[in-house]
Amino acid sequence: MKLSRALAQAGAAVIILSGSAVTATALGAMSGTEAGAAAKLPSCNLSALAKHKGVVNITFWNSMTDANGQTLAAITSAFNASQSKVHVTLVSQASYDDTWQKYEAGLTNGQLPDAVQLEDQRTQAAIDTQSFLPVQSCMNAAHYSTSDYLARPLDYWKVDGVQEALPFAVSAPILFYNQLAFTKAGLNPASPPTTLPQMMADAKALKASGSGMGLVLDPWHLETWLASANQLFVNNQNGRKGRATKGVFVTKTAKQIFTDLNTLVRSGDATTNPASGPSEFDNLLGIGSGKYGMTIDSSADLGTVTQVLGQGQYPNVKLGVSAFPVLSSSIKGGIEPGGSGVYISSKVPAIDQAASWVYLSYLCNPQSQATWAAGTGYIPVRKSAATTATITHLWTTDPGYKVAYNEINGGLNDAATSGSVIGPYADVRIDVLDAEESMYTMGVSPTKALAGAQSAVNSTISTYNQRLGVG
Amino acid sequence: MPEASAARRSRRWRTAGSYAALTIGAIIVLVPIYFTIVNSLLQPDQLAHQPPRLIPPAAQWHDYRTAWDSGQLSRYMTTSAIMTVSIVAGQLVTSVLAAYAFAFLRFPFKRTLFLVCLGTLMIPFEVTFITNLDTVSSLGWFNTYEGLAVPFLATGFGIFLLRQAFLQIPKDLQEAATLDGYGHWRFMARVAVPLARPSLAALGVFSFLAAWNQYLWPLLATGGTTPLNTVQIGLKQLVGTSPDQIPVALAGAVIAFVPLVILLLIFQKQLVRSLTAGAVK
Repeated sequence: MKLSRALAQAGAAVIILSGSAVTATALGAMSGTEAGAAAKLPSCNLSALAKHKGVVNITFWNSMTDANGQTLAAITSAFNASQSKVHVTLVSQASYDDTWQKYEAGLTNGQLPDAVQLEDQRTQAAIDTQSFLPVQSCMNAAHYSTSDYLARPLDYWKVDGVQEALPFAVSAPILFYNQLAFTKAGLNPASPPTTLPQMMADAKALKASGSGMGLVLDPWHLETWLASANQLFVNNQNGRKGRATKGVFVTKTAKQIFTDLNTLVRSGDATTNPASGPSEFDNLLGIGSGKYGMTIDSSADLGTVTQVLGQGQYPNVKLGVSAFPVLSSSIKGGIEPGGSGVYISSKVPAIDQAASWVYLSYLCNPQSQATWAAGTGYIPVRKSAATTATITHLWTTDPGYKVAYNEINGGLNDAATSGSVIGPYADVRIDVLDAEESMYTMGVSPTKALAGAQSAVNSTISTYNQRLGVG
Repeated sequence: MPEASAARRSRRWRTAGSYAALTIGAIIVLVPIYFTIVNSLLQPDQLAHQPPRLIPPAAQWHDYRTAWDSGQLSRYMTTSAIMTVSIVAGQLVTSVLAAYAFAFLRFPFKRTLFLVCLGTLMIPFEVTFITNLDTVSSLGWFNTYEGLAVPFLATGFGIFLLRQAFLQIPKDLQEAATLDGYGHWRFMARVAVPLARPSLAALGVFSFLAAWNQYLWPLLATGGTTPLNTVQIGLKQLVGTSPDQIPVALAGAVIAFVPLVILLLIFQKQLVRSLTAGAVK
């Protein structure tokens, strides 16, 4: 039993099932052909849509709830009202995992959407289902320019030079901290930590003054710090120039990251909480209750955190937001984006595929991205969205929202910073998390834990690749 | 007399001991439920409070209303109730009929067929659900109550449980009934089923629990623009993506387990009897 899963399930005292059953059957049935890329892209028949009379109805599966869901609904009704060719019906699932499971099941019984929003880690798995039309096809057909997009989110969903999906809901990890706790600990609230060593020192100071740091057990810690130091996570250029077959992270850099995290947790300066179940927000809520002086979490949570803390019942909290503390100020790298991309199904009629493109490119146009970012806390993926009145107003009144945008817009753009493409990415992340937890709870040495992580990752990847007949 | 009082004293100690053990057991079982209820009444920020709150400082009942109304739990509960009742009724009927045949009738390949029934217990649901989904969809039952319930109308476990119960009925009774002119149907309805009541109750409760708590199947077998969501899927939707939703999700969880608690209270006696049946000969 994987430790992380066991922990997550133990945490979920509620009857909710985790839904983590592996639906590998659908995938296993498919043979994988390594994409020879750009040369043989399927076509995107935009002219058929242009000639078509009447409305094309399409469905879009998404995983947006609460405020995010409402903002998506508003943008979608604006789209439906803006033209008379395409009508979109939204179908919301409870989570990214549910959407993916339903999609996989749909490959068997044909219950598939025209377009779907999938989580960042599903890129290779989506390609392997051989059921998507790369948005690149429609970009070529429409002579669509991507020059206004932020480069890194675009690169995140680009594999072997082909744009598989459009970046839609993009976020990045940022540092949340309580300025008053910083003052109390004798730290300068105007200069939060910018590197991992500084973050450790500040956590120690915070702990000494009665708070400390909250650390959610999210498996992207290792990947994000590696990218911030411009280091690859898996081979073949993070899986972007050929399928990833093994991890390449047993390095001095990764050992430093594991050693630092281990020190942080074992010293008690940071307290961990699981990334799913009822405790998943303890690190953020702990800032409100005064338990923690700082934490790292997704910029997508900024809206809710600001709202909850802004209710006036937290006189001891003054929220500060700043950039993710990188590994070292002397190494240049970048923060990899996270979030979700939007895909077009190739299992639906050509005219639906074309209609989906029209809708998805609407979701990602500068105006929609401005509305989206202001309503949710995700970053706008278009540079010109950043100059709209909506966004300039948001960033002036609440500069915290700009932090993640600057992270993704700054730094290097290369294979290391645009993240990895791995078939069994979700399982690989569990392998890494298991290794981290073996340090925290069982006292395994960082060197051993790191080696263990890599060998677990290698075997997870090779099992998947063998099942697809590509290993 | 001293011997008698010593015996009484040791009996008293034993009673005290078993009460203590039972109390500890009850606490272990009840604490998570208690915390679920307390946390559903807290403000979101108080959830992370250390030490955890044992009594909510200002109970926030409005999260229950939110879960019921805007969380649409009322609709999901109805769907779950229809699905669950169909499954329970189906399993009871099919199990009684099949178990009766295995216990009282003589027919070719009886042992083999019974082993096949038992064999279905060894195959996990994960192996069969893709095929089941394919079947249900091709029957046109995707996103219908039929699709939700029919794959679960018969169960190897139920057949096994009731066959064992029927086998405990003395042969003399059957012979006496035959002499009185009872056919198989009448014997089953008037004698066998009433005598197997504890096992039937146990089967009913177990299948109710299993059906009510299903997640993966209702998730995959429903869809479209108006999915026929069950309560567990509704609960997952309540969790949402933000920390201020947690008390609402917990309130939803409390609402969702109320039917189970009621069921357990009603059938408690039968359940205990069926669990201890055969323990004392």
